[in-house]
Amino acid sequence: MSRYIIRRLLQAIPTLIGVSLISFFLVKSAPGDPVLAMTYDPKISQATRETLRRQLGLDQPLPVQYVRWLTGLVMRPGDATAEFSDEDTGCSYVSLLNYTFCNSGGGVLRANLGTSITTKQPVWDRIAERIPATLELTTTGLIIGLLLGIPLGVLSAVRQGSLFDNLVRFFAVVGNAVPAFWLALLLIFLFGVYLNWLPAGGRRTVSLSDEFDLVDRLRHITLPAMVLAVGWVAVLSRFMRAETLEVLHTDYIRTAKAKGLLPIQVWFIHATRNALIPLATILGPAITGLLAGAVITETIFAWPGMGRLTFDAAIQRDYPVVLGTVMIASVLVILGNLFSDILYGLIDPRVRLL
Amino acid sequence: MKKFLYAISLMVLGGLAACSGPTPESITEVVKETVVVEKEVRETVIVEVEKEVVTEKEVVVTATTAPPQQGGVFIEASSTDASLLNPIIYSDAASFDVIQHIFPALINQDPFTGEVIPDLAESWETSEDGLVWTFHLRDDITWSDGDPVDAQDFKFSYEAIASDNVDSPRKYITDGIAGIETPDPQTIVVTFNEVRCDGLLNLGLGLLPSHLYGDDYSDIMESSYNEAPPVSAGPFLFKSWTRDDNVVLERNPEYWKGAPYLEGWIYKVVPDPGARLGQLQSGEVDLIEAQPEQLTTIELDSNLELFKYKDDGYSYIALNLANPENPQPGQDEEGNLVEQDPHPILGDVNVRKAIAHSLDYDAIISKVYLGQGYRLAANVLPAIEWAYNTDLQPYPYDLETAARLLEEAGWVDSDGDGVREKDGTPLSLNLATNAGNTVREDLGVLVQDQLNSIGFDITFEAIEFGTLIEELDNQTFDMIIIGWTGLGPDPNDDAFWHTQFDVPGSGFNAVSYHNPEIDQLLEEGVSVPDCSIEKRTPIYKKIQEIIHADVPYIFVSGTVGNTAYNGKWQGINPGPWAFYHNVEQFSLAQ
Amino acid sequence: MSVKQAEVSTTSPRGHIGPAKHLEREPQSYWRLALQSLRRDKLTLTAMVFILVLATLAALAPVLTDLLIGVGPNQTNPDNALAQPYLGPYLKWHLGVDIRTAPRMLRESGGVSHWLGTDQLGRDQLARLLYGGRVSLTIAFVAAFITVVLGVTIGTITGYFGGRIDDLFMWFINTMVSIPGIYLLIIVSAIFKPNPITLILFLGLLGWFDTARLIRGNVFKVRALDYVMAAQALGASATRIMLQHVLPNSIPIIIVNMAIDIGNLILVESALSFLGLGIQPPTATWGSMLDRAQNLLFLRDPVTSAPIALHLIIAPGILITLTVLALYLIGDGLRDALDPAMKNV
Repeated sequence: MSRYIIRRLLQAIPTLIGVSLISFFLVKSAPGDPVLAMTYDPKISQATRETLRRQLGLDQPLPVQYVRWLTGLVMRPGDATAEFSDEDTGCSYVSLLNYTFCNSGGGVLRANLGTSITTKQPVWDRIAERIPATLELTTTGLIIGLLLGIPLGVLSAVRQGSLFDNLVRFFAVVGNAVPAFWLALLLIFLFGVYLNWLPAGGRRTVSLSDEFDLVDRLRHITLPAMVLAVGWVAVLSRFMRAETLEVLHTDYIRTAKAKGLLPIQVWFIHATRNALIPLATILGPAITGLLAGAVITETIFAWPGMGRLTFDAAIQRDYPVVLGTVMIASVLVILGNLFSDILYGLIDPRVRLL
Repeated sequence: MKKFLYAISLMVLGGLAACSGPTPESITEVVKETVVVEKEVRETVIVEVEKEVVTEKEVVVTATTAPPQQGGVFIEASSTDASLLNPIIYSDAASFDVIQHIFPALINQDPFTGEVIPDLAESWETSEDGLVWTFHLRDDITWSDGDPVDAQDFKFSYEAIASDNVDSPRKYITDGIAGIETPDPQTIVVTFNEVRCDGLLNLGLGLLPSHLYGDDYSDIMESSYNEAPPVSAGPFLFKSWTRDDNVVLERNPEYWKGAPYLEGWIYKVVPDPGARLGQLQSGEVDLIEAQPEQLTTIELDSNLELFKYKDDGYSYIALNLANPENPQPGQDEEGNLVEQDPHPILGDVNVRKAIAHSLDYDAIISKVYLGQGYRLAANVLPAIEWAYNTDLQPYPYDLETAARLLEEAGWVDSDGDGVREKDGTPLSLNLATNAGNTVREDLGVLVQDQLNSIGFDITFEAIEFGTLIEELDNQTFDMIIIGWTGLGPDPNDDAFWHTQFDVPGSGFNAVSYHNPEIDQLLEEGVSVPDCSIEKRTPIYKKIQEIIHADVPYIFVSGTVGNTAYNGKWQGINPGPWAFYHNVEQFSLAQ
Repeated sequence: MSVKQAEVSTTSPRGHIGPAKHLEREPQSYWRLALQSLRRDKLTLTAMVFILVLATLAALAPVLTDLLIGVGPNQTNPDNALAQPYLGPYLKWHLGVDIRTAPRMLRESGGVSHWLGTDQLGRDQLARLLYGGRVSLTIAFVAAFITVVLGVTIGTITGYFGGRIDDLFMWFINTMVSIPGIYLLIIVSAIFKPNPITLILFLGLLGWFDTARLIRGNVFKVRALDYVMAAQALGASATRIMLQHVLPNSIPIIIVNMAIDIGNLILVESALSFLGLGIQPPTATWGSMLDRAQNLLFLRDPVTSAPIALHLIIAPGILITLTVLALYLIGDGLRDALDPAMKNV
């Protein structure tokens, strides 16, 4: 098992490097001059702009910028050791490439994602302060989805062909087809505008004091979590229905029924347990979806989470933050898939992880 | 089973036909007249209310005369969050919205006229040559930790801007300053490199508490104070900041103008404009900047007040006077004028005048700006009262004159295809604006239609902002719709017209406007030795006359701001330049 | 026995023995079976008809708007902004229930019947929905087509040739798949602000990974089959093998996936346009119409206090839902028809 994990982690490295390459060059190929767009004010002199450009390292060729972002090493042509090294920065000259590498700390490989252009905070700080909000929202949505979706799916399979089954299937398909943002708008309209029962956005009501008001927080999380949950219920109910149906037709269930076990025992003890196994395959992507999947919902409900951060940063051309969120999200996707595979391997004895 | 699903889906499809929405009793009337409230001209001068000393005071209050009660939290909703709470390195308006309540400044702007008024500095004199300004400071202002706000704070803040350890977008300010001396804690002597009348306002930045920072300015950029200012000399103290959510400020009882009645002030981030209106109406927030389509709803809500003002910005169409195939700088290294290669079509002032006459400005202002705009004749805004030339009339919508001008200039439709030609060249131009700005996109469509109807062949496209300003900067455009905001209370805008700023790739005189008389007037206007208004006014009025006659820009509309706020507050008395200038007097009405 | 029957039984080349020809069932090809199964599936058929009707309506948008309404999708008329749908009052008028509202609305709109109301600039909703449908559907279909072409091509090539090419492409695919799709789309759209053509290219270029992996898997399976190895031994070219053996096995799954992909693409494009990142105004798409409508959610009629923008929010959303629903149902139905083993019982 541990060998499997190590192998998977090693395989992840070239993937992550690929992610960093692709996202870096994608982001940097944006049209227009970012420095000019940032400082489009007649009072700011060209000299200031050039200084800003130099400080952000934007005057260097792209590969040099990439190396700097990834490793924290600043590349300068020729032998510039004497010029640039001091007590903080060590430089060494590599004659093969005719470049000097100056090391001043930082770089993604050393877990330093850079500094946000808009707020001057370290990128990691900006992301880290948003993660709890996203987790709060997506976990709530997922839990509601699980609590509703699994029983609905199982029951639907058990009562196959009934009105209940058809209704569940219908709403599942519709739930998949409905655009999440439209559903969100309708809910906002119904509960926020028309009935005025629930707030239309935000995570909590602002006030002078900092106290944690549970009711207020619950009121704010209801609508966005519902939007997320609808998607989960749609997917999970269909999935559980299909799995349960498969299980229900197996021999051992027939045996259990023949043995005279009560329906409840049959359905929920034997059938469900076996049907739950493939759920592990969904959980992996679900966990990665926990962080990335709520972008649209967060934006509509003004929820201060990581998805909205990515969106805002992309609009504002805050490249370090955009690259930071992409890297972190990719790491989570890879870990999530790994987790899901491991879980599957643990639960299902027929699967052998190689 | 499948039949059932089939039946249900048929029902859904059939149900569509019956769905028709609520039958209205009446239909909303959209206010389409250009309703712009001129800002009230104040006769009375607002004097700071000092609570400790009973002096002669004249307090102007707009609402009831009941004595103000303590308490209440004023909540402003904004579309974006602040980025940095540091008065010398911030660069966005949202940050300023919060900074203004915390940091003191040497001088301020009059909320109604924009002129420079005393703040930390009680008075000042200038030397004969206008280069040396001496400021005398009040001695009764302190930071909330007790340390006095004095000349050292000013010197520290401005030298920090100039320092290499600080990345400030305001280095242009300190580039013009030769030196700052502080002979005593209440006196500042600033020596400028040259006389710049618009430079005085540059001295009005918020000041850092110098006693909390190291001498070498190295701890400013990364300081945690940028996210949590520890002390304040303004009406409010910083309490907390939840990113992308809200900034919470609390009353500062030591505020030198008097402790605010308000208990606190909150800056709430609500990105969606519809949601902002909804929260204003429900009372969740107290102030928003309203969109034009929301005005009817606000005006009909008796709980809300609306403050309309002419903002310091305008939208315009930049006309490239030079040939876009051959962009040239306006001056060479020695400062001699470089002869420009004129634009084959727009180089002729009569064509530009024809364009100015071809636009139906009233339709534009009512359709595109929903009435929230006003005609401009030239480059100085009416909000700068003393410099605004009231004699100039904006170009009227007059298709006959436009046609006549084009004919006289030699542009005739000889082949009947609807497009005029001259010497075989058709009257074709490119028009561009930035994608994503729906107002500008709508404007582009209208302008294209209106010009095409008179014989132009305009191709309009909305392109990405970065690409647009590159085209503008590199001077490879024909016509671009864009706007200026935050021009400030000084009428000097030499960056747009002076030949020295015609630099493809970096200068803001992107239209390549060359007029030696204008160059001279601009230089004069900004270097009047004592910057007195009497001397500067005629210069700027002449500048506007010339700009009006030369048409380097088509001035489309001045921007109009609409601030909507909850009527439950009294003491609110906003001017076009400042809303919160007397925030310590805001209180809940009884 | 008649002469005919005798002829049949003695002259048929195969020496036919058994029931008479007219009682015999024709050999059932795979596709025949699938088609028969599909014909019995009323739900999927309904969905297909819906999509066809929608596509036709969208294609005929210019004609229809001229006939039914009279104004184009971009004609503004601020005097008549946010008018309520004319359809309801019209029906009530002709049914005799309410004879005043409809004529009044007609007068106020200058004689133009705004069946589904107008937006905040007075533009007709129905016209915009039709034109917008054209844009949305075209983008979805063409992009899906591109993903299929790319996915099949690349999947076949890497699966067949293996080795370095396979490693390279798999590395690339794994990398792209690791980045959450929505992030990638948002970033790309925010940076490049696409027009319909570039948006189609983006969506196409970012959507082929799953198809490629699927095809690649199929290629592996097929490559190992005896008859393929035999064909190779006989000297059949790579292309021939792929076209004759690999593709036919994969076509069913490609078709099913394509239907679902088109549905997904409609959702994605409308989500991006809704966020302001996809198709820019004034071009209407269902998503961008909802974006503008979002700002108007809170506006109420000053007299009746009824929300006045409801019609702007409901119509585009219902259209998106129904279209995507139909496409998903078609995908499901096709899957049932084309692969009995994959049937949802």
